[in-house]
Amino acid sequence: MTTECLEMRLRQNGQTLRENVRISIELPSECSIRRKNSPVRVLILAAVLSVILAFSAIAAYRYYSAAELAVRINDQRLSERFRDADVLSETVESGAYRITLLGSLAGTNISDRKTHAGAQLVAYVAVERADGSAMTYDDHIVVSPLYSDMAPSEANTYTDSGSGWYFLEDGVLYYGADLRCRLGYEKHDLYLAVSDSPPGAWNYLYDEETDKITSNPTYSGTNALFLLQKAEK
Amino acid sequence: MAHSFEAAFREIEQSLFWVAMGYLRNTEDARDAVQDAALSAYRAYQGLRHPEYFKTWMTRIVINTCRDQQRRRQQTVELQDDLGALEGIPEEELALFDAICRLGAERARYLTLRFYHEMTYEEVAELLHQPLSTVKYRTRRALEDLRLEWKGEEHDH
Repeated sequence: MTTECLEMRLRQNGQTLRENVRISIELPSECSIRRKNSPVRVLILAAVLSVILAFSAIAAYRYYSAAELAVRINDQRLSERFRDADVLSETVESGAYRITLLGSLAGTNISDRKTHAGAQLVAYVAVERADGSAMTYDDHIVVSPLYSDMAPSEANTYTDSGSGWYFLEDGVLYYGADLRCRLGYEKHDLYLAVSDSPPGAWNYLYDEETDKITSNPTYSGTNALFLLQKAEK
Repeated sequence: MAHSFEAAFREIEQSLFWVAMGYLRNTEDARDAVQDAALSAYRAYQGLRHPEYFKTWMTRIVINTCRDQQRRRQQTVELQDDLGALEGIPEEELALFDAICRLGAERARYLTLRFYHEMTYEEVAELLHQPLSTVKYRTRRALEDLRLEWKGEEHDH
């Protein structure tokens, strides 16, 4: 079968499947979707999905993508890597800010800008104020890598060096972090911390038994934490 | 607004289901994924800046929902788990779709988006944030893999 024949066959197949599948998706008659599941599940779904799913999907259409931001700083290689990586955005509301991770890459030769010896971590985030007011250049944001097995105060962007750039557009602060990865970082869970103060015990907790890092729930400011990659086995 | 959302959604719900099937390979999970995605999308619909991108936007939400389900569900499931939903579809048609799924979700998505969801290459590129040339290349490569996979399937029958 030639490729052209296969394409035609797939179109027919798609039409047959669409026309014959027996599914019914329940939609809201007015402002809420009534599921056939229990009301409790609806409430849980509404809370969880509206935060996790809708936000992350919508974010892609509200913000610049990581690939677009890389083009903005004339980093062609990084832009291509972000495109190939099929980046998924993720949003967390923490303290006064709503932070969307637009993309991250860790490794060697990922960028035209070789700013560190060894591996580098590039992460792009979009930050908005949770109350809807516009961000300004007075809003102070710290972006840092964190690692499992290492206390946040001992291994972060201040101890290991890093650089970044940012700009404001439509009330959104775009922050690009170019950070140095610790040697052997693949053997650790790699996190991205976005806070209003440098990483330490006050905003991030390190559990010496499990070696995991978590946001400190008692911290009143911003202490978002994204898990970028799990440790290699 | 509710009516326009429903009208727009109804136009593409069947093909969204098959996009979800390409990821999840399970009718019940795929139906749930599309339904959950609809819930999220409905709540955000009024804030959609570009209604002309509804199909792309809605598909993105479905894909994110599917991936979220995949992360929670590690085990592999069989395609023909729910004959009620697939009843009446010729076996050979299901076998072809199954062959697509066997390519893996990453390759299958180019084919499901292009041929089951009837998206143009440009729309797929926009959806996946990939260059047009990349989308065309990967679709061709997925087609070639499917051709080999399907050839083996035909011989098996």
